[in-house]
Amino acid sequence: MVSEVPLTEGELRLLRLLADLGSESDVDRLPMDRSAALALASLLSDKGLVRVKRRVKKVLRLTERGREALDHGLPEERLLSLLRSSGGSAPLRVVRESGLFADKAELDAALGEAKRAGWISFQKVDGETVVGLTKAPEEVPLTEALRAAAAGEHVPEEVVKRLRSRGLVREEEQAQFTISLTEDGLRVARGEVPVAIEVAKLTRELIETGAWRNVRLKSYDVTLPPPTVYPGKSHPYVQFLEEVREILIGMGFEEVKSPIVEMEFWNFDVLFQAQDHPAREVHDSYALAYPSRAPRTPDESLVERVRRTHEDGWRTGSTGWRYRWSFDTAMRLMLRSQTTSASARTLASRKELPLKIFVIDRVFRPEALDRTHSMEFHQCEGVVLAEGLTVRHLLGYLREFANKLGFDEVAFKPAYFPFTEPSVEAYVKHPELGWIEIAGSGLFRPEVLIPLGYEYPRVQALAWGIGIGRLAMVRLGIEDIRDLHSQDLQFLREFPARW
Amino acid sequence: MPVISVSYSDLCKLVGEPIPMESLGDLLARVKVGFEGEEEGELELEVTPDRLDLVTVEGIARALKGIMGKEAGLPRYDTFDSGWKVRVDPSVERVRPYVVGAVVEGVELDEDALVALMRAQEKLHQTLGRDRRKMSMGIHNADVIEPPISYGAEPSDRVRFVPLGEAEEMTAREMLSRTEKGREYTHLVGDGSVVPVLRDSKGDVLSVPPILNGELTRVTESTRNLFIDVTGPDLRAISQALVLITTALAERGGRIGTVVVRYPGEPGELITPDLSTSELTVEVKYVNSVMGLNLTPEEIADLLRRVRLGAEVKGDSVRVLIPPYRFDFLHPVDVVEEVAQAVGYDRLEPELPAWVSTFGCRHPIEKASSLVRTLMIGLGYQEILNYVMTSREALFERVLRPESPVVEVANPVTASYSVLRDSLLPGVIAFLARNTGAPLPQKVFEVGDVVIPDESAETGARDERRVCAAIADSEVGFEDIQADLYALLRNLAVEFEVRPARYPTLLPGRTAEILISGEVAGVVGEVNPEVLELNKIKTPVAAFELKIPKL
Repeated sequence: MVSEVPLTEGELRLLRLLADLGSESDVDRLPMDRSAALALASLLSDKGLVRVKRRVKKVLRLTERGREALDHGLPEERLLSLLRSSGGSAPLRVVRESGLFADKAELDAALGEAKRAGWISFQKVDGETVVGLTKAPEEVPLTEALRAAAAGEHVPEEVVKRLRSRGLVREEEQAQFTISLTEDGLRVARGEVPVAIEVAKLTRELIETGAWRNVRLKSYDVTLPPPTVYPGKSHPYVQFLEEVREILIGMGFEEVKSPIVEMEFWNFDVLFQAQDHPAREVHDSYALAYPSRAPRTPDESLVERVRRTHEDGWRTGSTGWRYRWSFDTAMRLMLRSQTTSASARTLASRKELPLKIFVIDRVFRPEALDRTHSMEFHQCEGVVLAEGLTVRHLLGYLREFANKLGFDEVAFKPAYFPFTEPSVEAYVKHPELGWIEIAGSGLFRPEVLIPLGYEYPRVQALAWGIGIGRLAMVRLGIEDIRDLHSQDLQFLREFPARW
Repeated sequence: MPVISVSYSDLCKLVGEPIPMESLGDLLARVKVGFEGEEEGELELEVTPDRLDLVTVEGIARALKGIMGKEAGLPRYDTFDSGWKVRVDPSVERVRPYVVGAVVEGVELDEDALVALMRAQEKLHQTLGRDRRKMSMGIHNADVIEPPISYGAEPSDRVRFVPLGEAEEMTAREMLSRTEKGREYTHLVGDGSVVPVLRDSKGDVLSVPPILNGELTRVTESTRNLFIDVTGPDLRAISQALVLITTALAERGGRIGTVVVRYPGEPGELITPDLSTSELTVEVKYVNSVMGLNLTPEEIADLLRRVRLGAEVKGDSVRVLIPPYRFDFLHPVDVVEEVAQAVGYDRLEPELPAWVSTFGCRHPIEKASSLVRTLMIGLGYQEILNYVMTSREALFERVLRPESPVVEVANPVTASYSVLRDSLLPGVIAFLARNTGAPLPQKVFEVGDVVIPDESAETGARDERRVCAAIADSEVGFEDIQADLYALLRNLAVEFEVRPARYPTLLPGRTAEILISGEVAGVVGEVNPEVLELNKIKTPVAAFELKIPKL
């Protein structure tokens, strides 16, 4: 033992704390910031004054699905309570149509789990499969385990295995540290050895007074990890949309917008979608209960031109759809189901040529939210309006855009969209996923352009639309569409800013 | 997009040669059919809604033969007068007013063909028929029918027959409740007291459209001669369906016999199916101007014949004959698409128009939003993203706001997403409630649209871009969030005023309103502990919501 031990105030404080607490101390129980205590302990250990023991403990964390199950019940639990509330049994059809299960996979899981546990049985009654309760528990044991896992309590290994295989929990490793004094450490703490105080922090006072020349500045272990900090950061999906925006602006496109609550007129009629077109039926777009009718109507002469074009083609050279067009239907309100409404509005109000516009915005369709479907998602669309444009120019813009998004190979296939002709689908080659469809596109039909006041075919409009959310998932490596609107703060905090 | 199943071997048989599976996808893409996959000899294909002629395997084979160079130009379908008649009784006028029919003789119905026929019927019911509402067809063994046929509406209690697939005779009313199809489609016949009925001259019930045929006329593999009826409220749709199904059967060697349908009033006497062709003339110059190519009239005509259209060069134009089963030609541009398809998009060289020079820019609201996001990130906040659709409960009850009118959809899939948010704060609080276990401090913000009902707006509602930020920490208060809000406003260089306010989600006495140009633009304060408790948030939360000012 040397005659004088160099220590900082903090180190000395920790030594004394440890001496007071006696024997081994868990770092988490010290009345001191965890990371500070660890840093000090490491320094003291180098000086032979303490021993630090590290043990790795496995802790359980609930996944998004686990949290969901805890909030709303496991699928089998929902099944049991449905059966309970319907008097102990229900036809499989009723169970299927109950709306309690996100998809067939979840329903199958619920039935499978409950069957395996012997809580339910299947019977045929009048040719229909009926699910009946046999001896179901008040609470599904797995729920108990889930709650224990959430509270950080002990869960038996075989139960953990089941929770994990169903994707309800994930295991994370957590390091635990204990610190104990060595013989020398104890002596220092008791004041039996002289201590030379080292200075840890270089302060303003030390510098102003020049006292820094006379103190011993402690050396740091610069390899130690610092505490975790989370920077202010953009949402990865928003960041991706911003990137797409930059690309389009770089390609000379101007951004335009339209209201979320939209008239069917701008969402469909101007785009020559017949009023009995399947996309206009209730299961394909959101109608509004409130407000339901547009208080103001669009320009009368435009409405008239659109009506004629639908009914008999007007002056477009088309036969039209040959039906009776309804003004009332056109004035009904809906939630924008395609960003093309913004393009249509812009083409109607701006007459300069050439015009290159784009839209990145939310659209809405009646879908149940699950891994692959969402009731609202983003579309990105671009329109080039100019004289002398051809199909080859459409392909040119699509290729350019795909290249800038990072895809080298592009392929095109014929397609059908109600407001473009010819219509083309663009595919790009992804290194892992192979060919993926990225855009639907085409030249606006004369039945769209002429009523809007353009001299077709001298003037042509190239248009394309991308389900940009799907592309974002590919780029961000996200497999569940709900993660684009993730409700998990740690997921967002830990998502790298570069992908 | 309709997805159909077809038998691979049947398709090859109809095309007349085996098509290697490797090249099938590319060939199908060239006739606008998507190849989704193959399993045990069954192909899953996707067709586009404009091309209902491709929902039948026979139609796909017909198109493939063209693109493969095995057959070119307009397919010819000869018809003969079957001598069959259908008499329409005035009683169906209000029930299901229109019927058309055809006889098809000499069809070889092997197992594949029979399955294909049933699938085609089902797919046409779903698509063109909008689930039988707009059109439904019955396919019968013609040999057991004694024409003429009558089509009338009768009380359902007095119609007795053995429905297809049933063992015993029952009334039409019983059929509606006792058979699966009866239950499924009963809504198409009103209250079911009166149903449309097709009977032959013996009085035998052939069918109760749009629900079920009779067992009597069941079609089997030994059936060679068919009678097809199509009924519905839309004469055009049912006529199209009849053309689609009869021309498909003709591809299997069937001979199409016309039927005379006699109506008491309009449209009088019809001879169905109507297999006449229509025609369009396109200028060569126009085709080339859309395609960006320099094709000769002969080349264009040749390409059109490959996609099974008739084509004849007339100077600088091409006269195009359109087969009866194609209903997607409204304008010469539709012919251009056929040319593009025949050429193949992958054979067109992409290029950019040098004369289109424009300058890009952000929308002003996105410019302002981007600036706000940059500042909020600089202030240490994590950006989050919520849906615009939400529930009344989340928007009002859970944050103690009194209800006010919000945009509401008429056909929600679930109540959780049935209205549009008129404020960002409820979503941000809900987010914090889901993350009570995450390390503190939690500083989050969202930039997004809210939708406010507004009579003076063109569509009765206006979108408003807002920013909402919140801090949750073991200790956090008004001045913490206020400091950040002021930092934001100062950096946006907007003049603002502040006054005390009451806002139910926030704590009275610790809530202020922000005014910009004299109008309320935002609110800042500590979240009311009652709201925290309701949302099981264990830490204090301070928050602001601000309309993003025009910059």
